Amino acid sequence: MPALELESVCKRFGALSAIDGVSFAVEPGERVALVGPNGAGKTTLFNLISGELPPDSGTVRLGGRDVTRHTPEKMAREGLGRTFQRNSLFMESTVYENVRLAVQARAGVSFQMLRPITAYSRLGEETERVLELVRLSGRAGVRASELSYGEQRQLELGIALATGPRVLLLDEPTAGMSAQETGEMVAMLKELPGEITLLIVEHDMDVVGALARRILVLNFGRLIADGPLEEVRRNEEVLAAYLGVGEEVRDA
Amino acid sequence: MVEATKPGEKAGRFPVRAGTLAVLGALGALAVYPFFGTTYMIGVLTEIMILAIFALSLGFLMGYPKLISLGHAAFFGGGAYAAGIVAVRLEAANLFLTLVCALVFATLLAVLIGVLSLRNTGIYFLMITLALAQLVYVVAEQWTWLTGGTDGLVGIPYPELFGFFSFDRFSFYYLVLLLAGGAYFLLRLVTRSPFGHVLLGIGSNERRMRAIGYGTRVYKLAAFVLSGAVAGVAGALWAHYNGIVAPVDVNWPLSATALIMVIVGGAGTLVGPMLGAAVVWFLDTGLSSYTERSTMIMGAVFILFVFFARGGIAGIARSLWERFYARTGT
Repeated sequence: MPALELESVCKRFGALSAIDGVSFAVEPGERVALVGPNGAGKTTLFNLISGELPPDSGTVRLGGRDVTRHTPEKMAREGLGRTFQRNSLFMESTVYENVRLAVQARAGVSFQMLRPITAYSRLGEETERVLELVRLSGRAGVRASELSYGEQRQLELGIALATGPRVLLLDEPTAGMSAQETGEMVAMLKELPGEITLLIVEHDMDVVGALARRILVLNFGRLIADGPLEEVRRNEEVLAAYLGVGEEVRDA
Repeated sequence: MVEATKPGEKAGRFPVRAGTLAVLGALGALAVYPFFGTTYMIGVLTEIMILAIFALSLGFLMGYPKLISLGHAAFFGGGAYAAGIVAVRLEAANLFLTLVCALVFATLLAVLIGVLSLRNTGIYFLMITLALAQLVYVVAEQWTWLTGGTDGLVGIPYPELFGFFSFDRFSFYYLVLLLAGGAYFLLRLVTRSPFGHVLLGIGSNERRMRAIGYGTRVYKLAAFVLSGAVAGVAGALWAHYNGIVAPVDVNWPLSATALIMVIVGGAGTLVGPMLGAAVVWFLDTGLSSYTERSTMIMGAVFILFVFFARGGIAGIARSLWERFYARTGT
Protein backbone atom coordinates (compact mmCIF):
# COMPACT_ATOMS: atom_id res chain seq x y z
CA MET A 1 0.00 0.00 0.00
CA PRO A 2 1.44 3.43 -0.94
CA ALA A 3 2.38 5.75 1.92
CA LEU A 4 0.99 8.69 -0.02
CA GLU A 5 -1.29 8.61 -3.02
CA LEU A 6 -2.84 11.41 -5.08
CA GLU A 7 -5.60 10.75 -7.57
CA SER A 8 -6.56 13.42 -10.15
CA VAL A 9 -6.09 16.27 -7.65
CA CYS A 10 -7.18 19.65 -9.05
CA LYS A 11 -7.05 23.19 -7.70
CA ARG A 12 -8.07 26.38 -9.48
CA PHE A 13 -7.49 29.97 -8.40
CA GLY A 14 -10.04 31.88 -10.46
CA ALA A 15 -9.13 31.32 -14.10
CA LEU A 16 -5.74 29.82 -13.22
CA SER A 17 -5.56 26.05 -13.04
CA ALA A 18 -2.85 25.79 -10.38
CA ILE A 19 -2.94 22.01 -10.08
CA ASP A 20 -4.47 20.09 -12.93
CA GLY A 21 -5.28 16.43 -12.43
CA VAL A 22 -2.14 15.33 -10.60
CA SER A 23 -1.88 11.62 -9.76
CA PHE A 24 1.04 9.70 -8.29
CA ALA A 25 1.83 7.27 -5.50
CA VAL A 26 4.82 7.09 -3.18
CA GLU A 27 5.77 3.82 -1.50
CA PRO A 28 6.72 3.68 2.20
CA GLY A 29 10.35 4.69 2.71
CA GLU A 30 10.69 5.99 -0.83
CA ARG A 31 12.51 9.29 -1.41
CA VAL A 32 11.00 11.30 -4.24
CA ALA A 33 11.93 14.73 -5.56
CA LEU A 34 9.34 17.12 -6.93
CA VAL A 35 10.85 19.58 -9.39
CA GLY A 36 9.57 22.12 -11.86
CA PRO A 37 10.07 25.71 -12.97
CA ASN A 38 9.02 28.60 -10.72
CA GLY A 39 5.27 28.89 -10.48
CA ALA A 40 4.74 25.28 -11.58
CA GLY A 41 2.57 24.66 -8.52
CA LYS A 42 4.95 22.72 -6.26
CA THR A 43 4.15 24.59 -3.06
CA THR A 44 0.43 24.61 -3.95
CA LEU A 45 0.60 20.84 -4.31
CA PHE A 46 2.24 20.61 -0.85
CA ASN A 47 -0.51 22.81 0.59
CA LEU A 48 -3.14 20.55 -0.95
CA ILE A 49 -1.53 17.45 0.56
CA SER A 50 -0.96 18.98 4.00
CA GLY A 51 -4.49 20.36 4.28
CA GLU A 52 -3.63 24.06 4.18
CA LEU A 53 -5.68 24.29 0.99
CA PRO A 54 -8.67 22.11 0.09
CA PRO A 55 -8.51 20.56 -3.39
CA ASP A 56 -11.41 21.29 -5.75
CA SER A 57 -11.55 17.67 -6.80
CA GLY A 58 -9.54 14.48 -6.56
CA THR A 59 -8.46 12.31 -3.66
CA VAL A 60 -5.49 12.32 -1.28
CA ARG A 61 -4.72 9.10 0.58
CA LEU A 62 -2.26 8.62 3.40
CA GLY A 63 -1.38 5.00 4.13
CA GLY A 64 -4.49 3.96 2.20
CA ARG A 65 -6.87 6.22 4.16
CA ASP A 66 -8.80 8.97 2.41
CA VAL A 67 -7.59 12.23 3.97
CA THR A 68 -8.89 14.66 1.35
CA ARG A 69 -9.92 17.98 2.89
CA HIS A 70 -8.57 17.12 6.35
CA THR A 71 -7.39 20.17 8.34
CA PRO A 72 -3.61 20.62 8.74
CA GLU A 73 -3.75 19.54 12.39
CA LYS A 74 -5.62 16.38 11.47
CA MET A 75 -3.10 15.61 8.73
CA ALA A 76 -0.28 16.03 11.22
CA ARG A 77 -1.99 13.59 13.56
CA GLU A 78 -2.36 11.14 10.66
CA GLY A 79 1.42 11.11 10.33
CA LEU A 80 2.15 13.81 7.79
CA GLY A 81 4.92 16.28 8.54
CA ARG A 82 6.01 19.25 6.48
CA THR A 83 8.55 22.02 6.41
CA PHE A 84 7.94 25.43 4.92
CA GLN A 85 9.83 27.12 2.11
CA ARG A 86 10.14 30.19 4.31
CA ASN A 87 11.04 29.27 7.87
CA SER A 88 8.05 29.02 10.15
CA LEU A 89 9.53 28.93 13.64
CA PHE A 90 8.62 30.07 17.15
CA MET A 91 11.06 32.96 17.00
CA GLU A 92 10.94 34.11 20.62
CA SER A 93 11.43 30.61 22.01
CA THR A 94 14.66 28.66 22.33
CA VAL A 95 15.67 25.91 19.92
CA TYR A 96 14.87 23.41 22.66
CA GLU A 97 11.40 24.86 23.26
CA ASN A 98 10.66 24.89 19.52
CA VAL A 99 11.34 21.20 19.19
CA ARG A 100 9.70 20.28 22.49
CA LEU A 101 6.46 21.93 21.41
CA ALA A 102 6.40 19.66 18.35
CA VAL A 103 7.24 16.60 20.47
CA GLN A 104 4.44 17.55 22.86
CA ALA A 105 1.90 17.63 20.02
CA ARG A 106 1.61 13.85 20.06
CA ALA A 107 2.40 13.22 23.74
CA GLY A 108 -1.19 13.66 24.97
CA VAL A 109 -0.27 16.05 27.78
CA SER A 110 -1.21 19.34 26.16
CA PHE A 111 -4.18 19.98 28.45
CA GLN A 112 -2.10 19.50 31.59
CA MET A 113 -2.25 22.89 33.30
CA LEU A 114 -1.02 22.47 36.83
CA ARG A 115 2.43 20.94 36.57
CA PRO A 116 5.45 22.64 35.03
CA ILE A 117 6.40 21.27 31.63
CA THR A 118 9.82 20.28 32.96
CA ALA A 119 8.10 17.60 35.07
CA TYR A 120 7.38 15.65 31.88
CA SER A 121 10.77 14.05 31.35
CA ARG A 122 9.61 12.01 28.34
CA LEU A 123 9.28 15.25 26.40
CA GLY A 124 12.84 16.18 27.25
CA GLU A 125 14.33 12.86 26.19
CA GLU A 126 12.56 12.88 22.85
CA THR A 127 13.46 16.53 22.28
CA GLU A 128 17.15 15.80 22.81
CA ARG A 129 16.98 12.88 20.41
CA VAL A 130 15.52 15.10 17.67
CA LEU A 131 18.05 17.86 18.37
CA GLU A 132 20.81 15.36 17.74
CA LEU A 133 19.23 14.31 14.42
CA VAL A 134 19.29 17.90 13.17
CA ARG A 135 22.67 18.64 14.81
CA LEU A 136 21.41 21.42 17.06
CA SER A 137 22.17 19.86 20.47
CA GLY A 138 24.87 22.45 21.07
CA ARG A 139 22.46 25.30 20.34
CA ALA A 140 19.51 24.10 22.46
CA GLY A 141 19.39 27.16 24.72
CA VAL A 142 19.63 29.76 21.96
CA ARG A 143 16.58 31.71 20.89
CA ALA A 144 15.41 30.76 17.38
CA SER A 145 15.66 34.39 16.24
CA GLU A 146 19.36 34.40 17.13
CA LEU A 147 20.31 31.38 15.00
CA SER A 148 22.10 31.70 11.67
CA TYR A 149 19.88 31.19 8.63
CA GLY A 150 21.27 27.72 8.02
CA GLU A 151 20.62 26.73 11.63
CA GLN A 152 17.07 28.07 11.38
CA ARG A 153 16.62 25.81 8.37
CA GLN A 154 17.84 22.87 10.49
CA LEU A 155 15.37 23.82 13.20
CA GLU A 156 12.60 24.02 10.61
CA LEU A 157 13.38 20.39 9.79
CA GLY A 158 13.68 19.48 13.48
CA ILE A 159 10.18 20.74 14.29
CA ALA A 160 8.72 18.66 11.46
CA LEU A 161 10.71 15.57 12.49
CA ALA A 162 9.69 15.91 16.13
CA THR A 163 6.06 15.19 15.28
CA GLY A 164 7.17 11.69 14.28
CA PRO A 165 5.92 11.77 10.69
CA ARG A 166 5.62 8.71 8.47
CA VAL A 167 5.49 10.95 5.41
CA LEU A 168 7.54 14.14 5.37
CA LEU A 169 7.13 16.92 2.83
CA LEU A 170 10.22 19.11 2.53
CA ASP A 171 9.70 22.42 0.75
CA GLU A 172 13.11 23.49 -0.57
CA PRO A 173 15.13 22.38 2.47
CA THR A 174 18.31 24.01 1.13
CA ALA A 175 16.77 27.25 -0.16
CA GLY A 176 19.07 30.21 0.43
CA MET A 177 21.83 28.09 1.95
CA SER A 178 25.56 28.35 1.27
CA ALA A 179 27.28 25.40 -0.44
CA GLN A 180 28.62 24.20 2.88
CA GLU A 181 25.26 24.45 4.62
CA THR A 182 23.63 22.64 1.70
CA GLY A 183 26.14 19.81 2.03
CA GLU A 184 25.36 19.48 5.74
CA MET A 185 21.62 19.50 5.13
CA VAL A 186 21.95 16.78 2.48
CA ALA A 187 24.01 14.66 4.86
CA MET A 188 21.39 15.17 7.57
CA LEU A 189 18.54 14.19 5.27
CA LYS A 190 20.44 11.10 4.12
CA GLU A 191 20.75 9.96 7.73
CA LEU A 192 17.01 10.13 8.39
CA PRO A 193 15.42 6.84 9.44
CA GLY A 194 14.76 4.71 6.35
CA GLU A 195 11.08 4.20 7.14
CA ILE A 196 10.26 7.89 6.72
CA THR A 197 8.83 8.58 3.28
CA LEU A 198 10.21 11.80 1.80
CA LEU A 199 8.77 14.09 -0.84
CA ILE A 200 11.20 16.92 -1.52
CA VAL A 201 10.73 20.08 -3.52
CA GLU A 202 14.20 21.14 -4.68
CA HIS A 203 15.78 23.28 -7.37
CA ASP A 204 19.37 22.16 -6.89
CA MET A 205 19.84 19.11 -9.12
CA ASP A 206 22.87 17.96 -7.14
CA VAL A 207 20.70 17.81 -4.04
CA VAL A 208 17.97 16.02 -5.97
CA GLY A 209 20.49 13.51 -7.29
CA ALA A 210 21.94 12.91 -3.83
CA LEU A 211 18.61 12.31 -2.12
CA ALA A 212 16.14 10.85 -4.58
CA ARG A 213 16.14 8.20 -7.25
CA ARG A 214 12.72 9.11 -8.55
CA ILE A 215 11.78 12.53 -9.87
CA LEU A 216 8.35 14.04 -10.45
CA VAL A 217 8.28 17.04 -12.79
CA LEU A 218 5.49 19.57 -12.48
CA ASN A 219 4.82 22.25 -15.10
CA PHE A 220 1.81 24.56 -15.22
CA GLY A 221 0.12 22.39 -12.60
CA ARG A 222 0.45 19.17 -14.60
CA LEU A 223 2.73 16.24 -13.91
CA ILE A 224 4.81 15.96 -17.09
CA ALA A 225 7.31 13.33 -16.05
CA ASP A 226 7.76 10.64 -13.38
CA GLY A 227 10.79 8.40 -13.32
CA PRO A 228 14.49 7.99 -12.50
CA LEU A 229 16.64 11.11 -12.78
CA GLU A 230 18.59 9.97 -15.89
CA GLU A 231 15.38 9.22 -17.71
CA VAL A 232 13.66 12.45 -16.73
CA ARG A 233 16.71 14.44 -17.82
CA ARG A 234 16.30 13.18 -21.37
CA ASN A 235 12.53 13.80 -21.43
CA GLU A 236 11.70 16.23 -24.23
CA GLU A 237 8.80 17.90 -22.46
CA VAL A 238 10.93 18.45 -19.35
CA LEU A 239 13.71 19.99 -21.40
CA ALA A 240 11.21 22.28 -23.08
CA ALA A 241 9.75 23.33 -19.72
CA TYR A 242 13.17 24.10 -18.28
CA LEU A 243 14.67 25.74 -21.34
CA GLY A 244 11.64 27.96 -21.68
CA VAL A 245 10.76 26.57 -25.09
CA GLY A 246 7.04 27.12 -25.57
CA GLU A 247 4.60 24.43 -26.59
CA GLU A 248 3.92 26.10 -29.94
CA VAL A 249 7.63 26.05 -30.86
CA ARG A 250 7.91 22.36 -30.07
CA ASP A 251 4.75 21.50 -31.95
CA ALA A 252 5.76 23.52 -35.01
CA MET B 1 28.29 26.51 27.84
CA VAL B 2 26.90 23.03 28.35
CA GLU B 3 25.01 24.34 31.36
CA ALA B 4 23.37 27.05 29.27
CA THR B 5 21.89 24.52 26.88
CA LYS B 6 20.21 22.37 29.50
CA PRO B 7 16.52 21.57 29.12
CA GLY B 8 14.03 24.38 29.43
CA GLU B 9 16.53 27.01 30.43
CA LYS B 10 15.86 30.38 28.91
CA ALA B 11 19.28 31.76 28.31
CA GLY B 12 19.57 35.50 28.71
CA ARG B 13 15.97 36.08 29.69
CA PHE B 14 14.58 38.01 32.60
CA PRO B 15 15.67 35.91 35.55
CA VAL B 16 12.68 34.13 36.99
CA ARG B 17 14.04 34.39 40.49
CA ALA B 18 14.18 38.20 40.47
CA GLY B 19 10.56 38.36 39.31
CA THR B 20 9.38 35.91 41.96
CA LEU B 21 11.25 37.78 44.69
CA ALA B 22 9.64 41.04 43.59
CA VAL B 23 6.18 39.46 43.73
CA LEU B 24 6.77 37.91 47.16
CA GLY B 25 8.13 41.25 48.39
CA ALA B 26 5.06 43.07 47.13
CA LEU B 27 2.75 40.51 48.72
CA GLY B 28 4.60 40.85 52.02
CA ALA B 29 4.37 44.65 51.93
CA LEU B 30 0.66 44.48 51.12
CA ALA B 31 0.16 42.00 53.97
CA VAL B 32 1.62 44.29 56.63
CA TYR B 33 0.30 47.56 55.19
CA PRO B 34 -3.12 47.62 56.98
CA PHE B 35 -1.34 47.80 60.35
CA PHE B 36 0.16 51.17 59.38
CA GLY B 37 -2.10 52.52 56.68
CA THR B 38 -5.18 54.68 56.79
CA THR B 39 -8.67 53.28 56.31
CA TYR B 40 -8.89 55.25 53.10
CA MET B 41 -5.74 53.72 51.67
CA ILE B 42 -6.83 50.23 52.67
CA GLY B 43 -9.91 50.84 50.55
CA VAL B 44 -7.82 52.14 47.65
CA LEU B 45 -5.55 49.12 47.73
CA THR B 46 -8.53 46.77 47.91
CA GLU B 47 -9.97 48.40 44.82
CA ILE B 48 -6.65 48.26 42.98
CA MET B 49 -6.08 44.60 43.85
CA ILE B 50 -9.53 43.68 42.51
CA LEU B 51 -8.79 45.55 39.28
CA ALA B 52 -5.37 43.87 39.22
CA ILE B 53 -7.04 40.44 39.17
CA PHE B 54 -9.19 41.65 36.29
CA ALA B 55 -6.19 43.02 34.38
CA LEU B 56 -4.29 39.80 35.12
CA SER B 57 -7.04 37.73 33.50
CA LEU B 58 -6.96 39.84 30.33
CA GLY B 59 -3.15 39.99 30.37
CA PHE B 60 -3.02 36.20 30.39
CA LEU B 61 -5.12 36.16 27.23
CA MET B 62 -3.21 38.98 25.50
CA GLY B 63 0.26 37.86 26.50
CA TYR B 64 0.19 34.12 25.82
CA PRO B 65 -2.24 33.07 23.06
CA LYS B 66 -2.24 36.75 21.98
CA LEU B 67 -6.01 37.09 21.93
CA ILE B 68 -7.09 40.72 22.21
CA SER B 69 -10.59 40.85 23.64
CA LEU B 70 -12.53 44.08 23.91
CA GLY B 71 -15.36 42.44 25.79
CA HIS B 72 -13.73 41.41 29.02
CA ALA B 73 -16.02 43.58 31.14
CA ALA B 74 -18.79 41.09 30.33
CA PHE B 75 -17.10 38.48 32.53
CA PHE B 76 -16.10 40.92 35.25
CA GLY B 77 -19.54 42.54 35.32
CA GLY B 78 -21.27 39.22 34.78
CA GLY B 79 -19.52 37.82 37.85
CA ALA B 80 -20.37 40.98 39.78
CA TYR B 81 -24.05 40.72 38.89
CA ALA B 82 -24.14 36.99 39.68
CA ALA B 83 -22.65 37.60 43.13
CA GLY B 84 -24.84 40.64 43.71
CA ILE B 85 -28.05 38.90 42.68
CA VAL B 86 -27.30 35.95 44.97
CA ALA B 87 -26.47 38.30 47.84
CA VAL B 88 -29.41 40.69 47.40
CA ARG B 89 -32.21 38.79 45.70
CA LEU B 90 -31.58 35.49 47.48
CA GLU B 91 -30.25 37.19 50.60
CA ALA B 92 -27.37 34.75 50.76
CA ALA B 93 -24.07 36.57 51.12
CA ASN B 94 -22.11 33.44 51.95
CA LEU B 95 -18.66 33.98 50.46
CA PHE B 96 -18.43 30.55 48.87
CA LEU B 97 -21.90 30.82 47.40
CA THR B 98 -21.38 34.24 45.82
CA LEU B 99 -17.89 33.42 44.56
CA VAL B 100 -18.92 30.07 43.11
CA CYS B 101 -22.00 31.56 41.45
CA ALA B 102 -19.90 34.35 39.94
CA LEU B 103 -17.30 31.82 38.80
CA VAL B 104 -19.86 29.49 37.23
CA PHE B 105 -21.79 32.29 35.55
CA ALA B 106 -18.66 33.95 34.13
CA THR B 107 -17.41 30.55 32.94
CA LEU B 108 -20.63 29.77 31.09
CA LEU B 109 -20.68 33.24 29.59
CA ALA B 110 -17.08 32.80 28.46
CA VAL B 111 -17.87 29.45 26.85
CA LEU B 112 -20.73 31.05 24.94
CA ILE B 113 -18.88 34.19 23.86
CA GLY B 114 -15.69 32.23 23.22
CA VAL B 115 -17.33 29.67 20.95
CA LEU B 116 -18.92 32.44 18.89
CA SER B 117 -15.97 34.82 18.74
CA LEU B 118 -13.07 32.36 18.29
CA ARG B 119 -14.34 31.45 14.84
CA ASN B 120 -12.63 34.69 13.89
CA THR B 121 -9.13 36.05 14.37
CA GLY B 122 -7.49 39.43 14.81
CA ILE B 123 -9.66 42.51 14.49
CA TYR B 124 -12.78 40.44 13.78
CA PHE B 125 -12.33 38.52 17.02
CA LEU B 126 -11.97 41.82 18.87
CA MET B 127 -15.12 43.27 17.28
CA ILE B 128 -17.21 40.18 18.01
CA THR B 129 -16.14 40.07 21.66
CA LEU B 130 -17.10 43.75 21.87
CA ALA B 131 -20.50 43.18 20.25
CA LEU B 132 -21.38 40.16 22.38
CA ALA B 133 -20.25 41.91 25.56
CA GLN B 134 -22.48 44.87 24.72
CA LEU B 135 -25.39 42.42 24.51
CA VAL B 136 -24.65 41.45 28.09
CA TYR B 137 -24.64 45.16 28.93
CA VAL B 138 -28.06 45.63 27.36
CA VAL B 139 -29.47 42.71 29.31
CA ALA B 140 -28.05 44.14 32.55
CA GLU B 141 -29.60 47.49 31.80
CA GLN B 142 -33.03 46.25 30.68
CA TRP B 143 -33.82 43.31 32.93
CA THR B 144 -34.78 45.69 35.71
CA TRP B 145 -36.51 43.40 38.21
CA LEU B 146 -33.45 41.18 38.35
CA THR B 147 -30.57 43.60 37.88
CA GLY B 148 -32.00 46.89 39.10
CA GLY B 149 -31.67 48.35 35.60
CA THR B 150 -29.87 51.67 35.21
CA ASP B 151 -29.98 52.29 38.97
CA GLY B 152 -27.93 49.19 39.50
CA LEU B 153 -28.26 46.51 42.10
CA VAL B 154 -27.81 48.15 45.49
CA GLY B 155 -27.29 46.98 49.04
CA ILE B 156 -24.78 44.19 48.46
CA PRO B 157 -23.18 43.41 51.83
CA TYR B 158 -19.67 42.24 52.59
CA PRO B 159 -19.65 38.45 52.41
CA GLU B 160 -19.96 36.20 55.44
CA LEU B 161 -18.96 32.66 56.29
CA PHE B 162 -21.82 30.38 57.40
CA GLY B 163 -23.07 32.85 60.00
CA PHE B 164 -20.05 32.74 62.24
CA PHE B 165 -17.84 35.29 60.50
CA SER B 166 -18.69 38.49 58.67
CA PHE B 167 -16.06 40.28 56.64
CA ASP B 168 -15.37 43.94 57.32
CA ARG B 169 -13.18 46.42 55.48
CA PHE B 170 -10.06 45.08 57.16
CA SER B 171 -10.62 41.35 56.71
CA PHE B 172 -12.02 41.87 53.20
CA TYR B 173 -8.70 43.48 52.27
CA TYR B 174 -6.97 40.24 53.23
CA LEU B 175 -9.50 38.17 51.33
CA VAL B 176 -8.79 40.20 48.19
CA LEU B 177 -5.04 39.98 48.78
CA LEU B 178 -5.31 36.22 49.15
CA LEU B 179 -7.32 35.83 45.96
CA ALA B 180 -5.08 38.22 44.00
CA GLY B 181 -2.02 36.23 45.07
CA GLY B 182 -3.86 32.97 44.38
CA ALA B 183 -4.94 34.06 40.90
CA TYR B 184 -1.39 35.16 40.09
CA PHE B 185 0.22 31.92 41.25
CA LEU B 186 -2.46 29.82 39.56
CA LEU B 187 -1.94 31.51 36.19
CA ARG B 188 1.81 31.40 36.66
CA LEU B 189 1.55 27.65 37.09
CA VAL B 190 -0.63 27.42 33.98
CA THR B 191 1.79 29.44 31.85
CA ARG B 192 4.62 27.08 32.76
CA SER B 193 2.62 23.91 32.12
CA PRO B 194 2.43 22.00 28.83
CA PHE B 195 -0.88 23.78 28.20
CA GLY B 196 0.75 27.16 28.77
CA HIS B 197 3.46 26.35 26.25
CA VAL B 198 0.80 25.50 23.69
CA LEU B 199 -0.78 28.91 24.28
CA LEU B 200 2.59 30.59 23.84
CA GLY B 201 3.10 28.67 20.59
CA ILE B 202 -0.30 29.77 19.32
CA GLY B 203 0.54 33.38 20.13
CA SER B 204 3.85 33.05 18.35
CA ASN B 205 2.95 31.08 15.20
CA GLU B 206 -0.53 29.62 14.96
CA ARG B 207 -0.06 28.32 11.43
CA ARG B 208 2.89 26.18 12.45
CA MET B 209 1.04 24.97 15.54
CA ARG B 210 -1.67 23.58 13.28
CA ALA B 211 0.91 22.07 10.93
CA ILE B 212 2.42 20.11 13.83
CA GLY B 213 -0.96 18.80 14.94
CA TYR B 214 -2.55 21.21 17.40
CA GLY B 215 -6.26 21.94 16.98
CA THR B 216 -5.60 25.50 18.07
CA ARG B 217 -9.18 26.66 18.51
CA VAL B 218 -9.95 24.38 21.44
CA TYR B 219 -6.82 25.57 23.28
CA LYS B 220 -7.76 29.18 22.65
CA LEU B 221 -11.26 28.48 23.96
CA ALA B 222 -9.85 26.87 27.11
CA ALA B 223 -7.64 29.91 27.70
CA PHE B 224 -10.54 32.27 27.03
CA VAL B 225 -12.78 30.46 29.53
CA LEU B 226 -10.07 30.31 32.19
CA SER B 227 -9.50 34.03 31.73
CA GLY B 228 -13.23 34.75 31.90
CA ALA B 229 -13.58 32.73 35.10
CA VAL B 230 -10.79 34.67 36.81
CA ALA B 231 -12.38 37.95 35.68
CA GLY B 232 -15.70 36.72 37.12
CA VAL B 233 -14.14 36.16 40.55
CA ALA B 234 -12.70 39.68 40.43
CA GLY B 235 -16.20 40.91 39.58
CA ALA B 236 -17.72 39.17 42.62
CA LEU B 237 -15.17 40.89 44.87
CA TRP B 238 -15.98 44.18 43.16
CA ALA B 239 -19.69 43.75 43.94
CA HIS B 240 -19.01 43.05 47.62
CA TYR B 241 -16.51 45.88 47.88
CA ASN B 242 -18.67 48.58 46.28
CA GLY B 243 -21.99 47.36 47.64
CA ILE B 244 -23.50 48.07 44.23
CA VAL B 245 -23.29 46.66 40.70
CA ALA B 246 -24.35 48.91 37.86
CA PRO B 247 -24.35 48.64 34.06
CA VAL B 248 -21.02 50.55 33.91
CA ASP B 249 -19.41 47.42 35.35
CA VAL B 250 -20.29 45.51 32.15
CA ASN B 251 -19.88 48.35 29.69
CA TRP B 252 -17.14 48.57 27.10
CA PRO B 253 -15.14 51.48 28.65
CA LEU B 254 -14.23 49.10 31.46
CA SER B 255 -12.98 46.57 28.88
CA ALA B 256 -10.91 49.34 27.29
CA THR B 257 -9.52 50.37 30.68
CA ALA B 258 -8.42 46.79 31.31
CA LEU B 259 -6.75 46.76 27.89
CA ILE B 260 -4.86 49.94 28.80
CA MET B 261 -3.82 48.42 32.14
CA VAL B 262 -2.37 45.41 30.32
CA ILE B 263 -0.51 47.50 27.74
CA VAL B 264 0.87 50.01 30.26
CA GLY B 265 1.90 47.19 32.60
CA GLY B 266 3.30 44.98 29.87
CA ALA B 267 1.61 42.16 27.99
CA GLY B 268 3.53 38.91 27.92
CA THR B 269 4.07 38.88 31.66
CA LEU B 270 1.65 38.27 34.51
CA VAL B 271 3.09 40.81 36.94
CA GLY B 272 2.94 43.59 34.35
CA PRO B 273 -0.84 43.82 33.98
CA MET B 274 -1.25 43.83 37.78
CA LEU B 275 1.21 46.73 38.08
CA GLY B 276 -0.56 48.38 35.17
CA ALA B 277 -3.82 48.24 37.12
CA ALA B 278 -2.22 50.19 39.97
CA VAL B 279 -0.64 52.79 37.69
CA VAL B 280 -3.82 53.33 35.69
CA TRP B 281 -5.86 53.62 38.88
CA PHE B 282 -3.59 56.33 40.29
CA LEU B 283 -3.43 58.24 37.02
CA ASP B 284 -7.15 58.05 36.36
CA THR B 285 -9.25 57.68 39.51
CA GLY B 286 -6.52 58.85 41.88
CA LEU B 287 -5.66 62.06 40.03
CA SER B 288 -9.32 62.86 39.45
CA SER B 289 -9.58 64.18 43.03
CA TYR B 290 -6.94 66.79 42.17
CA THR B 291 -7.61 67.68 38.56
CA GLU B 292 -10.39 67.36 36.04
CA ARG B 293 -7.84 66.49 33.40
CA SER B 294 -6.90 63.09 34.84
CA THR B 295 -8.34 61.21 31.86
CA MET B 296 -6.29 63.36 29.52
CA ILE B 297 -3.14 62.66 31.52
CA MET B 298 -3.95 58.95 31.43
CA GLY B 299 -4.38 59.15 27.67
CA ALA B 300 -1.04 60.89 27.25
CA VAL B 301 0.72 58.30 29.38
CA PHE B 302 -0.88 55.51 27.37
CA ILE B 303 0.30 57.07 24.11
CA LEU B 304 3.82 57.43 25.50
CA PHE B 305 3.87 53.75 26.38
CA VAL B 306 2.58 52.70 22.97
CA PHE B 307 5.21 54.83 21.20
CA PHE B 308 8.24 54.35 23.39
CA ALA B 309 7.75 51.35 25.65
CA ARG B 310 5.82 48.63 23.89
CA GLY B 311 6.80 46.16 26.61
CA GLY B 312 5.14 48.32 29.28
CA ILE B 313 6.46 48.66 32.80
CA ALA B 314 7.51 45.01 32.83
CA GLY B 315 9.44 45.55 29.60
CA ILE B 316 11.28 48.56 31.06
CA ALA B 317 12.13 46.57 34.19
CA ARG B 318 13.40 43.74 32.04
CA SER B 319 15.69 45.87 29.90
CA LEU B 320 17.04 47.68 32.97
CA TRP B 321 17.74 44.32 34.55
CA GLU B 322 19.44 43.00 31.43
CA ARG B 323 21.64 46.09 31.27
CA PHE B 324 22.58 45.60 34.92
CA TYR B 325 23.10 41.89 34.31
CA ALA B 326 25.36 42.54 31.32
CA ARG B 327 27.48 44.97 33.30
CA THR B 328 28.01 42.69 36.28
CA GLY B 329 28.63 39.67 34.03
CA THR B 330 27.17 36.20 34.34
